[in-house]
Amino acid sequence: MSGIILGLLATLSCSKDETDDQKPVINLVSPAEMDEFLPGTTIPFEATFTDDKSLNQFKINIHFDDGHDHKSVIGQYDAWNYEFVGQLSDTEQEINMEIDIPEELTHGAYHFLVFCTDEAGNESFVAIDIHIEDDHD
Amino acid sequence: MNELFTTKRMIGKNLSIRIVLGFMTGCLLLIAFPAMAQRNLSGNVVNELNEPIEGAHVYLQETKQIALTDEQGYFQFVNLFPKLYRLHVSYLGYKCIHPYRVSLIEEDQYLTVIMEPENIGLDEVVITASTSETELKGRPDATIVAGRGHMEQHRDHSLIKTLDRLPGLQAMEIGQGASKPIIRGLGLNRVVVTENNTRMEGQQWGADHGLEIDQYAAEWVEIVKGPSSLRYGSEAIGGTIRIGPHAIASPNTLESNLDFSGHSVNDLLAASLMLRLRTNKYYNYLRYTQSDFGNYKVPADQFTYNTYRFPLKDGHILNTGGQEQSVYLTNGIIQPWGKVALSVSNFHSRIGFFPGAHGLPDMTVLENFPIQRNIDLPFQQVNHFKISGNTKVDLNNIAMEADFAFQQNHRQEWSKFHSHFPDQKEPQVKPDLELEWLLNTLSADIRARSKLGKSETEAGISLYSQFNEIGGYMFLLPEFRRIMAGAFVYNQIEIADQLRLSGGLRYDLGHLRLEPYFSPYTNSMKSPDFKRLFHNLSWAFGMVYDVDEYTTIRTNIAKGFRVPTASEIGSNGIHHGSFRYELGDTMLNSEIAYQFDAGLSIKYSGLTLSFGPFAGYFPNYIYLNPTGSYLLPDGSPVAEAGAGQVYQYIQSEAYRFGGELTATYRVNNLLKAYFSTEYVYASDGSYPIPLTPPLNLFLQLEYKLPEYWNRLHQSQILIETRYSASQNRNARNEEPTDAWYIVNLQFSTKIITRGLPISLNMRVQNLLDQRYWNHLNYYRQIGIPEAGRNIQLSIKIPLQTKLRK
Repeated sequence: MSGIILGLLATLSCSKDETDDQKPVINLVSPAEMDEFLPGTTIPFEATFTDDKSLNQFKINIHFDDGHDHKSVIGQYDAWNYEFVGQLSDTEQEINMEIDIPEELTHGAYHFLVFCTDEAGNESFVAIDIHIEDDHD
Repeated sequence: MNELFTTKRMIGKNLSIRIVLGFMTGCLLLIAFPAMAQRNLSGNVVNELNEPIEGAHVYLQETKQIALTDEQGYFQFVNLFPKLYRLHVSYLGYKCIHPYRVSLIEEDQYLTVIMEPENIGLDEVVITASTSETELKGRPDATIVAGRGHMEQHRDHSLIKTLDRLPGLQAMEIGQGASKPIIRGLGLNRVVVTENNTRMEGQQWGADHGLEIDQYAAEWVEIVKGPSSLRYGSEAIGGTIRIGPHAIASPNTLESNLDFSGHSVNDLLAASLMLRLRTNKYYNYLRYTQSDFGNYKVPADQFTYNTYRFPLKDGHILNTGGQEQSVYLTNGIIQPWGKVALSVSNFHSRIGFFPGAHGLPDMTVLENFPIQRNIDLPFQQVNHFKISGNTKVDLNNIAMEADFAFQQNHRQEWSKFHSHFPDQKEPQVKPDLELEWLLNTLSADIRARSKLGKSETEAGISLYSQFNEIGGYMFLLPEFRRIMAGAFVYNQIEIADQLRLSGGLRYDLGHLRLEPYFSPYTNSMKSPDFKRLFHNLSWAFGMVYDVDEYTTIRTNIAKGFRVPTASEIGSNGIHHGSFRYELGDTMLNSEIAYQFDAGLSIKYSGLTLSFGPFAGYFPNYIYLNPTGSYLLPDGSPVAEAGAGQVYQYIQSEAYRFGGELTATYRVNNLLKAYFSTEYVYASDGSYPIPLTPPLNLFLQLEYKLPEYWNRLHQSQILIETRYSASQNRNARNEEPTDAWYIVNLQFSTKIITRGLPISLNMRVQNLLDQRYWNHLNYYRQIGIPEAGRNIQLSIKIPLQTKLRK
């Protein structure tokens, strides 16, 4: 029995160096909290991703924020839903992208989410609010 | 006295002298009457090992008085008229003694009442004097029992929380209204809970699904810490919690209890009424419990989740109120050869979810959400119905038990319609029903036990069949059918007086069938057509050795298993309960565990010490692995909007070790100290296993107060402190938790009115109003701290009547 316990302890102590439990870090430069955009224009996405070992992927999700009390959507257009998955590598990478906002979409507040993973599966995310509406809204 | 009678006989038949003497005798008798009424009846109650039993009910039929035995098992009735009396002695887990005839005509009497344990199951329940929780003697595995005394003294919001302090058992709480068990770090589908000999079948895979049991209906609970598949089959891989059948009243008795509880931290009010009736051969049990509570409060005005700060209005954890209603009815016949009973129970609960636990916490929502007692969306609702027939036959050397049951677990999660699919429209009917499961289970369990000399053998078969229907606008896991059949044989043998060996084998066969599910929103198969046969061999071998009268050592090695769940095989979607996107794997095999257990217990003078280490190995532990990818394994994008990375169920090795140490020290007649510590280490070789409890220390001082005003009996003050070390050994994406400690204070007493003891418990939980996070609790995952100072009051009013024939 003591042999089994010693064996277990030995196994437990050796694999530590191949593990990675550090989350990657997202530095979201653009857009910023409460930024306003016009329909039909673009959102400039700029972020720097860093990780201690190796970055893997990032994801952007933009969805309509109806206050989460889900009142029926007033307006003639559908709410915009945007998803993008991109590959990353190394320990640091900067991403610059233009995201096209449709002409016809529900106006109002939108959640802007950025996710990031490293190769070991550690994940972090950032969530901000932006506004998409015409000048006269 | 004798002289008086002798003198009377010696006098002649002269009538006048007889009258005078008669009158004189009468006067003397009148004068002497008070002196004659002073008989005392006292004694002590012990078990078959001559250990005192505390808290036994001693009922004196002729005067309708009840005495409760104290720590030494001592009881006393004073000022009794000298005549014949009948005593009834009862204590849970022991054969009732009725009646015990005693004569006080001649003189006072002092009795020693020896009680024998009732045959509840495979085990001998030996409840030692000072605590109502103990290790089971004669069991090679790590098992502890909590009796009625424990329940009453430590009553909290739900059953597992009430048992939380038992070493090796932890409660995973969902707010302050529900809890589920974690045994040595293993929970969810790795623990089997049985009630009245029937496995409870619900959606145990959900970390936010509490155990659907009325805690007031639990009279004694046995916790097996380790693989117990030999006896309980699949899922008894981490441990088993067995909630025992209800005790039967003494013949021709009506026993009634009324319980009230109140908690300040969530304005909880609960009431429970029980009736226990017995004629000569018929018996009944009826219980109704109702509980209602509001939001729970924490000593914080904000919480942090993912680096963002969110407000907490007045420390309220919004929308965490709830209600619970439960009814339990048993009708039975008891005869010298055994008993047959029919039981029906229904448990219903509705509890709100903090708005932010389903999805992400939202600043606007939290600021606008009212502080109210009503439960709003999102909330969970569950109804658990059970009907069972239980038979027990006790012949000379053979005992047989058969339990048949049907249970239905209907669980729903309601959340304002929201979809991760842009083109999904709100349903016409029940638009806010997010998830629904209807699980019907039919089960049969038959066991026979035979004792031949020093050897005891038990064998049994169990069968169960279940069908799970799904509903709601969101898909999480598919419909499934499962059939399991198992057969076991177990033998215990006494080699010498002090050595007992035991061992057993079991074979299980199971069939799992998942219904395929095609989603119109992804235009693909969300869940495949799956059917598979699983078969498993389980076993356990152990030894108990009484080194001397003070010391016992035990060792046990066991193999347990579990069939993968429908969610582990067929998941494909966002699961709010785990805050993850979960993907199943149809290639998963049964999960297996081997565990070695040892135990050392020493009882010497005023000190009781118990040490129970364990070491376990899982060759194919199933867990959710973060893939690091936002795409499905085939490279296609995830159809649900706003999902995080894909987590997939995989199998890998896992190693676990740890144990518990408890010590009880009787400082003197009035003061007792209790200390316990528990530790678990769990790893898959690279990363720690998530939701592993950190090192825990518990210290309790119990001080007995003297009797007050001849009314307050068995009064005591308890002061406790619980310390939890930080948990920095975390799985990927699991948040570490800081160390914490809390202090609790309790005063309990029994007020005896009209011969009946009313129990009163006043407790302040988290006396210092500390702000802390419990690593295992559901709301910890979004950064919500634990409840603040909680003043708890519970009252139990018993009533017992002898029925007229």
